[in-house]
Amino acid sequence: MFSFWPAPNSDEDFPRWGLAFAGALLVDYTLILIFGSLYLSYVGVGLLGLAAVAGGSRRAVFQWRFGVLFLLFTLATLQMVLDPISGWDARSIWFFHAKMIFYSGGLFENAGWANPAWAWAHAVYPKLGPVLAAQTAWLAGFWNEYLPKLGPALLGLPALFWLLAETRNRTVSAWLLLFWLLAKVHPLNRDGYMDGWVALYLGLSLVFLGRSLGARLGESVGARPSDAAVGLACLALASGIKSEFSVFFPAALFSGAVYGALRYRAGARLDRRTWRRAVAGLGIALFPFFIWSIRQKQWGLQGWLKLDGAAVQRALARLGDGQTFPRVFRSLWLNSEVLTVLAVSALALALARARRVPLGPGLFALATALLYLAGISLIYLLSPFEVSWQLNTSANRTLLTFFGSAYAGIYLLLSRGEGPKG
Amino acid sequence: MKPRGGWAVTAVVSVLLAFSLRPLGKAFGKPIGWKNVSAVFTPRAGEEVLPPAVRESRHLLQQAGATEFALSSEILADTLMSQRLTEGLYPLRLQVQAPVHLAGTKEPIPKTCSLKLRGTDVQLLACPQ
Repeated sequence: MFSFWPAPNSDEDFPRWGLAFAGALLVDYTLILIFGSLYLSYVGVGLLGLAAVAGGSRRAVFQWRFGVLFLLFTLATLQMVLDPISGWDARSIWFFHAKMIFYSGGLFENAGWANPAWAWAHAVYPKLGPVLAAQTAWLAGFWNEYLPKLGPALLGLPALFWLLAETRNRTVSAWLLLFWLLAKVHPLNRDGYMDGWVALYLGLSLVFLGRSLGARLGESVGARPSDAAVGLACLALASGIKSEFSVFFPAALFSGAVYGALRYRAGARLDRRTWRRAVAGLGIALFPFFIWSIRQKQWGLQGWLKLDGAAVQRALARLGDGQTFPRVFRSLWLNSEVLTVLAVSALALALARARRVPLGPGLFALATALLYLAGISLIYLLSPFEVSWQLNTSANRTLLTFFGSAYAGIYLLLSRGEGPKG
Repeated sequence: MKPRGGWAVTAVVSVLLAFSLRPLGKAFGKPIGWKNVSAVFTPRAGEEVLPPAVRESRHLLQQAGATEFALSSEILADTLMSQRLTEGLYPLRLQVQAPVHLAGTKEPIPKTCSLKLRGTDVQLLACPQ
């Protein structure tokens, strides 16, 4: 069954709550992208309440997992909000954008997005985090360096619902995924960066879309009815958070196509209804992304990377100079953490093979992780900035999406092999 | 029927889980800033994270009734100061053509400008276009 809205049963309580919160955040963001006005934030908040009541079962509140979720969310949010905005990008990009939205009463061109004097603020970046921060300040009626951090903290709710739903079968690997992701992304989320949030949702999208795709392709992967909807919601959230999505998405599409082609050779077919629903689902999920792309064009906003002849020449020169490419390769591929994750991935693959569980979804996620890594390596080579400086200031953050994706792959491989319930 | 050996996978995952406890503890180990609770509900609280020159600049610009400002070339060359001034002072806007310039107190006053206000770290110059 390929369902976008899961049937009500206790196994789907947490995914439904997550979908309700994610849906409300996305509707809120889309309305502001279209109409600009922050007044509409009330619409978003209202929809959030309605969606939660309609979509989520009260049974979820009486599960011990809900207590874990409450504790984790409260602890993470307190750490975020009770610490002033001090990270470099948090100040120069994300909360500067939020401040511009707050003082303009919405996402309007007159905030000065195209001002060349602050080109370093990368006005072209997606606005989900800044919009949520601005809405929080707007509801309070003032700006300070603490309270706006509550807005982006709300991004944690859907992810926690979905991650804790995975622990329902008491698989140890679900806790491993939860611990790994939180340990990796929380420090940056706490400091007001968006890199952790985007890595979290891109990684989770691979878990749910990988499993859903595997089930559609006839593999016994333990998919839930909600997986397709949750995976698409993860993609939608990630596309509104940060530009890593633009590197990740083609990588995931390519891996998914290869996975589909390989299964096709084994006789698996996606029926027309599934294709139609998948295309419609992607169209809905990426709608905010397209709206923001249109706004960028209307307001004349340009990113720092232009894929023109000069960029290609730069990349070719860097490939041939004998220094830059090895430097990029060392930083991104021979990084000790990357090598450790690759080694654990190989171990997970070996264990899954030994258990004869379907490898497809896990390999889909790992292939996406590697393609993403290749993609960001290429971007460093194409970059107009000095590569060593850019690697030193950003590699630890751009690698987060690789880690999130690889963790997803490891989880997909281990969770099916785990016993006795695996 | 499922193949046997699931316990081995569980054992490996459990070992990985044990190793992940330390990084998790480190990630969440930062003390909660309870002393800042009242600041969360106070307008403009937390501006002390900005360099003192930014707060002084705001004071000078407000005294002069300016809504936009330009930065001296010396400040523009200082990435930290120029970015903190731009975002920290918003909604006062950085505009290249603004008639009011912020400059360091050690910077010489250009011939086309006159001193408007002077602080400890920054001075406000009137530079008619």
